[in-house]
Order: sequence, then structure tokens, then C-alpha cells
Amino acid sequence: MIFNSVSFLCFLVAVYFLYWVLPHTSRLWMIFLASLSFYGFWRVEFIPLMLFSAFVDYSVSLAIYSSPSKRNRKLLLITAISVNLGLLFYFKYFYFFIENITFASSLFGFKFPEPSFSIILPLGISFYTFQTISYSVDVYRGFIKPERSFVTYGCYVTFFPQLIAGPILRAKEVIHQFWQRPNFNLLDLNHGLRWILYGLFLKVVLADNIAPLVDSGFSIPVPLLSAWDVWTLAFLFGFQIYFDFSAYSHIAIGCARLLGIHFPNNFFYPYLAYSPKEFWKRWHISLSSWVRDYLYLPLAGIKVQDCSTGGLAIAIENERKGPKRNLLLVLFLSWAVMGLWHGANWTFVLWGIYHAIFIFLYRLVEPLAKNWSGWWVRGLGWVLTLTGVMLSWIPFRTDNVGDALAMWCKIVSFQEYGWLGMRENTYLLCAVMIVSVSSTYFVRKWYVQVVKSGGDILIFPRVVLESIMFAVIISLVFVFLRPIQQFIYFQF
Amino acid sequence: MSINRPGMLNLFPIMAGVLIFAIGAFLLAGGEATKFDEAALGKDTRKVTASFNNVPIQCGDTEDADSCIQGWQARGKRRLSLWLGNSQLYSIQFMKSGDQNAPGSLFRKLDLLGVDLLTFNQPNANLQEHYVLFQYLLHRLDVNSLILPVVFDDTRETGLRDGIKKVLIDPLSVDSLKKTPLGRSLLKMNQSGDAIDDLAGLQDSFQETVETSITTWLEEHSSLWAARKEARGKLLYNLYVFRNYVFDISPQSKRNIIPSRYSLNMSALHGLLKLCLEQGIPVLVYIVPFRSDVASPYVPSEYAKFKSEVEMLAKKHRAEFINLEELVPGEFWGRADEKNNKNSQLDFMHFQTGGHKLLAEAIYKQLVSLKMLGDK
Repeated sequence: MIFNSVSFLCFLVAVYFLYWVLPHTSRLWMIFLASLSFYGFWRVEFIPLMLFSAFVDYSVSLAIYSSPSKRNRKLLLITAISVNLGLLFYFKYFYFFIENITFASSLFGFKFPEPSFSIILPLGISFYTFQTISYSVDVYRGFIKPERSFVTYGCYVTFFPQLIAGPILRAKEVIHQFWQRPNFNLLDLNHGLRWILYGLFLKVVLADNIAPLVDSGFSIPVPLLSAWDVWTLAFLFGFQIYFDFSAYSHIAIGCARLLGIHFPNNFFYPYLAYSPKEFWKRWHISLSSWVRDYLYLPLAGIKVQDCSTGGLAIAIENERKGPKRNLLLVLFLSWAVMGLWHGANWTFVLWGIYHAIFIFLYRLVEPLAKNWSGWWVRGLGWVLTLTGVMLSWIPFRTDNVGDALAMWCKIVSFQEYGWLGMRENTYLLCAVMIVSVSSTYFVRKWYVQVVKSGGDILIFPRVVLESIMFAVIISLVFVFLRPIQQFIYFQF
Repeated sequence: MSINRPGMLNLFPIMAGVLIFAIGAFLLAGGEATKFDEAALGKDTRKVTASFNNVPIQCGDTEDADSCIQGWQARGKRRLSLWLGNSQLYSIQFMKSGDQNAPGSLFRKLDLLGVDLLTFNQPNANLQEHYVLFQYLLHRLDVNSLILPVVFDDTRETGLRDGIKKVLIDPLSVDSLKKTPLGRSLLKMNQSGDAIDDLAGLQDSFQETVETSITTWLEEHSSLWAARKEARGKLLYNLYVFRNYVFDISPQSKRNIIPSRYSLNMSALHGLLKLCLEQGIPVLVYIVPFRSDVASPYVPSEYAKFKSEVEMLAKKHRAEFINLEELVPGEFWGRADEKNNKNSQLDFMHFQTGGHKLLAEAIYKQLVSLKMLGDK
């Protein structure tokens, strides 16, 4: 089900009222069945697949926990991971694999037969398989005991706010919240509604209105784009994907909060980061933390962090004093996997490698920059990080590696700066976005400081200001609410 | 920051926001609907679509094409001239009762010769749209000649509007488009042929059915819900006006070509002329009348290059070419005093009924003298 729709809002209201009216056990069943229905609104035939993936990890984890033999436990874990990765491979990467085999065999003069059937990518498969893998691994590592109630476990895996596009939740953070019986309180209602409204605003007012300009720009043949156009499209798509994805997370967090469930934050003003390390503490935090704990640190032989915050930045802080060559290989491999997770295309791998290089370069520069001080250091860091991150979105959005490389080449070619290839509104919108996003953080920071220092005297003006703000947000959401675009991360 | 406030006080801003929204919606709803296509034309200009015996002979795109096509069929499927174009062909400045636009005038002249005329116009129509729509119409009409205005301004436009995007789901049209590199490129660029509608994100899902039911019910039972589209249009239009105010943009502001769009549109022109040549359909290409008694908003070198390129393409594909940019004298463009008023929003594209008469006569003379009205 898509969040930016009237039908979802009706669904949410129904679930909300039932949740607070039903007794605890019935409440869990209701959440589980509602989550399955939520998924079934897309395609009901893929519900068994999701339940199968969940059941494999549920039963394997119980077996792991009760098995005395370390070898058996390892075999069971490998089985669970293989099943999940096997499903992911088949549904998401099979055609990609076949295309590459076909290409490789054609170089040697062979014609590899193409499959005659089509495969539909199940919505959310990248998210729920990673979530169930994390559950099995955490049981294996002894971080958690397996959940014996399949309904409770099923709520954790299929919980509708985060089912399709995250955040990727750790069992340790969430399952105990399903055991508890939260009492209805207005604070949760307030926070939940705020997060949902902010999310809908980001999606239907901002992201969906930027999308046509981005689509139009990326459909222009690359030779007809100037360097300014490449920069503009990089920034615009960067804003689009940020608004779109953080909107999903906002709404997910808000929906969970309405039910008394607390999710960790998944975004925190990432475009204000002053280093790539800082950026990955603020962007899609749950995914980079997952890659850190289940891929990077185990491969690097470093102690696992076991939390869904901090991201890969914590991994960098905990570098082992070992052969740097291994860590470098692990860094690039982890980023390549993180890129490939996003989609079955070499462009995503290129995106991952780009970030690995970015972080590697930062690691080289960081010891030198430690001796610099002053506001200009942070300012310079911000400019370099922002431009570096925005340029990374080029391969993320283009259809092929050739176009991505061609666009990057434009920005290092001086003669490509002498003309403009798109409509003036595109550049104008980009400039407005840069100023607005930057200033929102500072306005919010100033506002929070004023509120803290002003005390009760400022309650009335604050309430008036917030009321006006919400009137504007609600009006714009009402006018623009329509499921005209899926969330970008649905395709992953 | 809100933790220490009582629970209801925390919620107050949201509740107040809802209340303010509701009051605002109540006060603003029920106003007169905005005719956006006329708003874009300017306050002195009206949209007029030509008809004959109350049957339309001037349509927009696939949304209303059937009414024009059925009219032609009912008139006996006569030899047909097809006139594609933009808002210049339906807009009349300072319109008075009984005024006719150019297609209306030309239809009556051709009618005396036993020749039919159908016109398809969209505001700011680009050549890619003409190409795609022409493919669609070829399967439904016996076109004997094509009248094709080429507008420099519209080479800054790209993409297919919804009414033309629907062509991309018409099997016959898609088959034709796939036969040419241009057609394949347009199909790819516009991806799915489905028009962008409000439920595009729900395609092929059960939620689409549910969402359609709910929103249809809301539109039938809530005038506020039904007014959302109008509200979106007004908001975006006001943003556009605000942008023009902030950056002092007016119809007189210089506008450069956008290379990618210009290139795509000229490719479309080439494709259209080539298609007509292959089909044996004579084409009359003309540079549209343009207000020339005031400074042009075009960059002179770019405009000159454009005209020579169009003429060259016409010659290459054995189409007839005529430059009508100075056809309509200054007195038929807007008010006499506005030329000297720097605050006036001069209209370079739309003229009074006198200009339409001149255009119709000029086209008629060309069609007759070039013998473009006969059988193929």
C-alpha cells in the first residue's frame, strides 16, 4: 500500500482505533493481519513468499537457540541466510545475472539462451529479507533470544509502517515493544501526527513536484547537457530522493508512534554533513548500520556494534590496528554490496564504489585537517561533502554506466560551462531548494534555542506560529495528496 | 521542546491548523472556476473553437478528436486538409460577437471547393506532439494535405501532454512509431503510454481499485475534494506569476533556445516531413505571423538560423515553405497605445479577428496556387 493515498489514511485510522480498543493479544493479531492486508493491497499473491521468508528465520532461530552444537548452529544460520539471499537473488538479480552471462558469452561467440518467463520484483523484499537475516544472525551471536510467539515475531517482520521501505529494524529494538502494552497517551498521538504530516508534505508537495523536472532532465541525451545541467540534475535528484525517502521514514516513524511503538530515526539533515563520515551517520542510518554489523565488521574481523544507529561511521572509528589492505578491500566490498542492494544494475555498484573512494580519500585527509580550526574548516567540509554526495546521485539515477561517466566527465570539462541546456525553471528550483534546505536547519536550531531560553512566556507565540505552520502544511498536503508517484525506494 | 506542556496543549497546533484550513477552505471554495487556458492567453484574449453547423471542426488532441473525425465522416469523408498548430489558431484578441478564427474562415472558403478542413491545436504545441498526433490521425483520416505552422517559441517545449500521450497506447499508432528511430525514441522517452494520472503510482495493484472508488465517491460528494485540481492549478499559476514579478519576466523578455529541446523538435519536424513525403501528402510549412512592430523577444541570430533550417528541411522533403511572420500588421495586435507603455504585457502570438482573416486568406491562396487540394 502506498502512504500518499486516501485509502492508506482510511486504513491507518481504522488500525489506530482498533489498536487502542482491543485487548493486548487481539491487538497483536490485528497488527499482524493488518500488516498482511497492507502488503496484499499491492499483490496478495506475494504474501506467502514474505511469510515463507519470515517462517524460515523464525524456525531456524529456534533451532539455533536450542542446538548445543556450534557446528549445527552455524549450518542452520547458513541455511537461513542462503534461503533469504536465494529469494533475493531470484527475484531481484536473476535477470541481471543472465544479462551479464549473455554479454560475457557473446564476447566468446556463444549465445546464452534468454529466459522466456518474467519475474515480478516483490515489494519490500530487499528490506524484509535483510531484517529476517539480522534476526537469525543476532540469535546466533547470542544478542537476543528467539521469539517463540510467531504472531509477535510476525508483527516484527511485517509491521506495516516499515514493511516496504524500512527503517530496517533490529529485533532487540522492536520486539520487546510488542510484548509491552503501551497505554494511550496524547504525546504519542501528537508526535505521530506531526511525523506523518511532515512526511506527507515532503512527499506530495516537494518530492512529487520535483520529479517531473528530474525525469525530464535525465531523459535528455547526455551530449545535449551542459556541465551546469549535470550539477543541477545531481542536486535536484539529490533533493528529490532525500525528500522522498525521508518522507517514507517520517510517515513510518509517525505511524508506529501512533501505536506507541518507537522507531529509531533514519535521517537527520544529511545534507548538512561536513564530511562523508558524518553524512553516513545521517543518511539511511538503518541500512548503513546493517551493512556495518552484518558485512563490514565481520569481514574486517572487528567487534560488531549491534545497533541500528551510527551507520558505517562507527566502523571507521573502531578501526582495528591490522593490515590496512584488508580493511580497504572490505570497505570497497561492503560499499559495492550496499550499492548492489539498491538495484540490479552496475550503476548502483558504481555508486557504492564512488562512496568507498570518497570515504577512503576522507580518511587520508582527516589526520591532516585535525590541526585546522575555525568556522571555515567546517564550511569547506560542508561544501566538499555536499558536492561530492550530490554527484554520487548521478549513477544512482542514470540507466547505464556510460551515461553516468559521460555526465561526470562534463563537469571537469571547461567548455561545457559555456551554455545551458534546460528550462530556466529547473535552475531556479535547484537554487531555491539549496537555500531552503540549508536554512531550514538553522531556522529550526534558532527556534529550538529561543524556545529553551524563553520558557513559558513564549508558549502563546509558539503555539500561534506552529498553528499557522500546520495550517499551511495541512492545506498543501490536502491539495497535493495523490498517489501520482511511488516512493523511489519501492523499486529497491 | 514540547515535553513539559500538557498533552492537549501539544496537540493544539495541529488541531488549530486543521481548523484554520477548514475555515479557509470554506471561505475560498465556491469561487468561479479558473479557465487556465484563457488565463495563460492574457486578459484581452478569448479562446474560440471553430465549428460548422454546430459540429466542431477544430479540436485539441485525442480527448476530443472523435467529435471532429465524426463530423468529417458525416460530411462524406471529403478531401481533407489537416491543420496542426498552437493557440494562435484559436485565440482572438478583443473578440466581438460573430468573430471567426482562421480555421473557421478557411473552412468556409475550402467548403466552396468541396474540400474539408480539420484543425488540431494545443497551447504551446511542440513539434514532437504534432508528429505523434499526426501518426494517430493518419489511421483515422484520409489526409490529402497538411498545413504545418512552425513556431520558434514552441521549440523550447518538450514532452507530450496527457491528451497526446494517450496515442502511445493506441496499437496502430505505436506500430507506426516503432518503425522510425524518432518514433522509438519518443516511445522510450515517454516510457509507459499511460497518461500521467493521479493514481499512476498504484498501477496494477488492488489499491488502485480501492483508491479509485474512494476518490470517485469523494469527488461526487465533496465539492472541496473536487476543487483540489483547481486549487493546484491556481497555486502553480500564482507561483508562476510571482516568479515573473520577482525576476521581471514578461512576454518581452529575451528567450534563448534550449539546445536539447530545439534539437528534439527539429528532429520531429524532419520526421513529420519525411513521413508526409513517403505517404504522398503535400505539406505547406509556414513561419507563423509574429508581432513585428515592437522589439522581438527572440535572439536575432538564433531566430534567423531557425527560419533557414525550417526552409532547408522543407525543401529537402519537397514541402512548400512560406514565411508569414510579417503578414499581420501592428494594428491587429493588441491595443494601439500599449507599444509605448513599458508596463504592458505585449502578446506576440495572438491577434485580432482581422489577423485571422489575413492568415486564412494567405493559407487559402497558397493551397490553391500550389494545387494542394487535389487528390493524392
